[in-house]
Amino acid sequence: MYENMMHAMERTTGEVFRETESARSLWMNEWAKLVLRAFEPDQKVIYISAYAFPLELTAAFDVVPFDFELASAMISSTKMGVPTMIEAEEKGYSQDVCSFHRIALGASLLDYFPKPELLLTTSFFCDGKFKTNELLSILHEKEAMLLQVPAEISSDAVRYVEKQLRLAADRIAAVAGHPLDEDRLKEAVRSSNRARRSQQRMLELLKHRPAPWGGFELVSFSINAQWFNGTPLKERLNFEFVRQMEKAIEADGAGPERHRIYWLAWIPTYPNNLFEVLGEHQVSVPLCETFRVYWDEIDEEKPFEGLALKCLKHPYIGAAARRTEPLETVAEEYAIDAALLFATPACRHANAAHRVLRDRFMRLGIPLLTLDMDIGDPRGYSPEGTRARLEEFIEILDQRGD
Amino acid sequence: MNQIDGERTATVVTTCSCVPEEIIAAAGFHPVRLLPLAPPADADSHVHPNTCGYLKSLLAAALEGEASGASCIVIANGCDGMRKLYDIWDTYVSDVPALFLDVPKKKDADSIRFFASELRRFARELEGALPGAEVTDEGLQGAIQTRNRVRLLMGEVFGLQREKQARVRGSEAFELCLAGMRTPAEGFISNLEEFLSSVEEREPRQTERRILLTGNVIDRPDPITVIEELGSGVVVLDTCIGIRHYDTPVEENAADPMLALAMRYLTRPSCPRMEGLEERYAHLEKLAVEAEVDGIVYSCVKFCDNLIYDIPTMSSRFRKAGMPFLFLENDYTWSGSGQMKTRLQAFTELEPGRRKPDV
Repeated sequence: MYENMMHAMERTTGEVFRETESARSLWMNEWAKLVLRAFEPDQKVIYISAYAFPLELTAAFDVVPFDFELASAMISSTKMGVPTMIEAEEKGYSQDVCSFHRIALGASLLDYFPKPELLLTTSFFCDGKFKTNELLSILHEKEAMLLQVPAEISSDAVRYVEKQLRLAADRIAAVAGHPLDEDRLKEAVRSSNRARRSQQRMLELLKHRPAPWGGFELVSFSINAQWFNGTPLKERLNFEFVRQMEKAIEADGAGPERHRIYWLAWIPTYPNNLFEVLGEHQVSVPLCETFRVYWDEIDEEKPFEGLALKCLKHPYIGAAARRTEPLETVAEEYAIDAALLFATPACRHANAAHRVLRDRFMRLGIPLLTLDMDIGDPRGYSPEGTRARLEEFIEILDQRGD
Repeated sequence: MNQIDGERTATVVTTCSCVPEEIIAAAGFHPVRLLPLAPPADADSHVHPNTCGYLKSLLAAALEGEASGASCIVIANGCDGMRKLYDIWDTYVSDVPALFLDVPKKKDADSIRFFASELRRFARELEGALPGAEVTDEGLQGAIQTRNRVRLLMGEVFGLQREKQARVRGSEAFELCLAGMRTPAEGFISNLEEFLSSVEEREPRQTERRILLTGNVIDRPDPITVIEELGSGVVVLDTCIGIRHYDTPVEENAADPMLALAMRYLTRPSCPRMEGLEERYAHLEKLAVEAEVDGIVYSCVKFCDNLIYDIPTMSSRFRKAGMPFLFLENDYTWSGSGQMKTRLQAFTELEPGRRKPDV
């Protein structure tokens, strides 16, 4: 079922790309191709958490990384989402379990996903992902490996993560059937550094008023495109989006803009009216926290140490201060006048400290809307309710503007 | 705060069984597990409502000033919610400083070494936060020996609770567990010795149904009392204030006491926050077989991700093995006591044939 969906996606996005050469169609097309590769016979599939595990490492091996959460996001965008979740719920998984994880569990029970040889995930964001990874490893009777990333950065912490990454490399090598090629890892790191630089360029362009990129696509890309980290494809995608943004700025094509929102956490993946309502009210999203460049360039001579540092510096690890400290600069540079925390119910790590975030924004004179809405389960979604919440918030922004 | 006995100003409160009490004791302070009574909803203005009731009650208690007698609080990285509790506490609870303790989810040699380094950092932080605190190896060795004595005596209590002709009721063992969370260890040892000598003369009694009660935090007697009222008994209390808290001694007189502590705290029978669902299932199965239980009640405070993901696997495996299994969700305050009673009643009345584990 999922494989068929990916074939259809590959065809349609391929056609669109040939006609339009749009960055989005290229991205979606490459996504479908990557997933389809995981279904090919003899491919070695490794489950990973693209937004947390450093994929520069898997890029150095002949393996196909597969992210069960991002794959679940794709399922939830179709009519397959709810039946897939129900499959997991009927096996006893509570609706308090994250909807992405219910989809991943349901899809695995229904045999939609490619089979893994190894499952790699991280200890940080979130507990549920780590548990799902373990459950899938039991289901597939394959080894799960957890990359424990400490909450604080210290020399002990760097050594600890670095050593785990070396062990992970050994495990990946065993699955790939070839040892780690140091030069290939260096090249993956170089590619990652180049992509980092182009992401910085994108961030520069996003400062432009009006915002040259749609909010939905920005947030979505900031998370999903990490599946290509460490590969030339990520560089190419960044390049295409840079080109697209430059064109938009040049043509002054973006519409009028009344408010600029800083987006925190995720977006709903099923059809919804969130960005439509924002658009109607000329509210743009020039930046999301998942798109910030929080890590330094990785030293290609010390790739394991550099990747360990990249993990350790992730803003979702440790104290909420990592999320709040850059806010002043962000607000100023991107001319932010509002913030929105997308609070999917099961995401304790993103939501629990919403009051800390709200008060920090308040000190900056920026109102924060905590929007309670499920990320992947449309059963509680109310378009009218969403519209009402957003419009009330926009009204507050308008009044402040007046 | 009703849980703190004795010298309030010398108290360091904790939120998780992962925090080595030995370090706090070695620093000259009295470790107390914070088991608040404040209604969780009182914290809704500060934390997202979809957060576990225990965490919210902790915060509500702090906001209402119930923790103000403590010198500081140690919040362990037990889960995503607890990590955020640290942020919220640090921001909004001004009278009790918060310290954070990171705890790996893994128990391999590297993780143990890392945790030992984290414990050293924590000890230094404790010294910095608490005037007069000093954590020495000698102090640690003493605290380890004292706590090991508590573990040994509580092990005896649990053994008597588990006997077929039991002399210790589940509710008594539970009360001792609670006392162990707040009573200074030396005094607790005397209480336990006294208790154990008093039960020797008791008449053993057999309960009709033998229940293994497991889960995350249970600090109110409600489910245990209900089970006993129904003529059954909790013969194993596998929770973070129950046997998991007292299992596995720390190596005494080790060259590196922090490493010995890290080893014990990461390798003891683990709670669901740790890696190893298979291992946890095997451990629970062993407990069930050894105690010859008739059923397992799996209690879970709502919104505890570490537990809810495990439930279907645990439930289907035990049921397949012929062991009745009841998942009992609660809001930490056990507000749905009528429903709980009905469910426990139905559970304890299951056909005897379904009670024999085929494990």
